[in-house]
Amino acid sequence: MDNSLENLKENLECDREDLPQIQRKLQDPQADRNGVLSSTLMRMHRSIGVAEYVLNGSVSEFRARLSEGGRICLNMFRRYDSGEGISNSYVSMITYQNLFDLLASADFDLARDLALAMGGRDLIEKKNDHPFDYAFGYVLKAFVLRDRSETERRLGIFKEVCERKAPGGFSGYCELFEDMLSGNSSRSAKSVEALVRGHEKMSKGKGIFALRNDKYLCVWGIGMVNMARALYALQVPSASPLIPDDLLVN
Amino acid sequence: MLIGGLTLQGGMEAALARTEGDAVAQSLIKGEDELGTMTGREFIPRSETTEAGARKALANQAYPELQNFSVKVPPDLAENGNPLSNGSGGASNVEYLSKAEKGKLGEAAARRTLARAGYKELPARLSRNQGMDGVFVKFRQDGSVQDIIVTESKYSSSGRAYLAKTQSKGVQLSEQWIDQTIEQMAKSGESKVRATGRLLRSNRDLVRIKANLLRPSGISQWKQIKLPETSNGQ
Repeated sequence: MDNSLENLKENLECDREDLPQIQRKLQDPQADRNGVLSSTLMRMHRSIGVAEYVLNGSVSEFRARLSEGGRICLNMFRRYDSGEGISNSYVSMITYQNLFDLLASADFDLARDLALAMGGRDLIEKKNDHPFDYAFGYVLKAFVLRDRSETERRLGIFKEVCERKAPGGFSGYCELFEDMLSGNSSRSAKSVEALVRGHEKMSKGKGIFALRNDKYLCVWGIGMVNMARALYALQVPSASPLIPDDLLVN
Repeated sequence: MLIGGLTLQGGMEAALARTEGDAVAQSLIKGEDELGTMTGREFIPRSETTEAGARKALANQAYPELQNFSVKVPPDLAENGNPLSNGSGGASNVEYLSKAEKGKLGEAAARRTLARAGYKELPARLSRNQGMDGVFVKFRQDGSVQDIIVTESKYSSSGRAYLAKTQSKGVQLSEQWIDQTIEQMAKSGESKVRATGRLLRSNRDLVRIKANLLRPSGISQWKQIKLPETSNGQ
C-alpha cells in the first residue's frame, strides 16, 4: 500500500473513532444551533463512504454514507426554513457539492428534494457564493429537476464562468451537460474522458480536489454519469479507476 | 509608541483613538516593552539600531516569520543614511514590504495578542500558503479545550479589507469555508496539521472567528473587517 493509501487508511480510522463523539454532541441541540455539528457529521459520513470504497470496495457503504450526508444537508435547509439559526453559508448554492454526493449514491429521490430546496435565496447567495459555485449550483439544480426552460440558459452561464474562472478543469462537465441536452450518447465517452482529465488536473497542487478524498475517486463525475444514465437515458461509459463501473447505475 | 512590534507614527492618543475599543486591541497596547520598528523591509527592535548583525538576529527573534524573506533598505532610506526614517511624507515603512511580508506581519500581530491572552497556536498552514492564517486554542488546566479562535489577517493601507469569496469553499471564515478547510487539514500530508484538523473537527462547536487588519501605522484592528453573517436572520 503506498503512502497516500496509508494516509487514507489512517484518516478512515480517525473518522470512525471521532464519529461517535460528534453524534453524542449532536444530542445537545444548543451545540448544533447553527448547524456546524450537522455539517461536520455530514462530511465525516462522506469521508468514510469514499474511503470504504477505495480501500475495501464497499459499494453499499459508499452509497449509504453519501446518501446520509445528503439527507443531513437537506435537513439543514428545512431547519433554516423553519427559522432555526442555521448558518447562511449552509444554504447557499455551494450545496451543489452535496447534490453531487446524492447523485453519486444513486439516491435520485433525495437528490430531487435537495435540488428543490436549493436556490432562491438571493441575498445569501450574493454574499456567500463565488460566481463559479453559484453558476454550478444553478446548472446542476436545473439538470436534476429536468427543467428544460432553465437547463440551456444555466448551462450557457456556467460555460462562460468556467472559461473565465476555471479554464480547462470543468470542460468535461460542460460537454456531458450538452450531451444530456442533445440526448446524444455518441460523444459521451469523450466527454467523460475530458471530465476525468480535468479531475486529475484539479487533484494536484492547489487544485480543489488535492486535499480531499476525491483525488482517489471522482465523486462528482460518478454523480454526473449516474444522472446522465438514470435521468437522461444516455449510454455513458465508466472510466476506471476514478469513475468505476460498480458505482454506476445501469 | 509601539504596538504589536511596529512603530506607531502618530502620538499615543491618536493611536488609541484609531484603535477600536476592543479588549484584544487594548491588550496589544500594553505590550510596548518588547517592541521595535520597521526600517525599510526590516523589523528592528527599538534598542538595537547600530549593529547590523545583532539587529537582524533580534529582528528575527521578534518576527521569526520574516526570517525567510530577503530584507533590503529601499534606496531613498539608504541615501538619507537614516534607516529608521520613514521619509518626509510620513508614509509607513511597512509599505516597502511585499504582500507576503505584510501578511506575515498581520499574522504576527494576531499571534502576539492571542499569546498574551493565554492561547496556544497550532500548526494550520496548508501547502502553498493556503488555509487558515492562525488557529489558537486555549486549554483548561485539565487539558481539555476551552476555546478555539481561527484568525484571518489582512493588511490594508486604505483601512478597508474584505474576506474573499473562494471557489468551491465559500467566503473566508464562513462556517462552510471553515468546514472545508478543516477537511483539507485533516487530509494534509503534514501530520501536525492533520492533528490540528482533527482537534478542530472534534471541537467544531467551540470554534470562533476573528479577523485583524494591520494598518500602515502599525495598528492592528480587530473589528474593522466585516465577518460573514453567521446564521439565519443575523
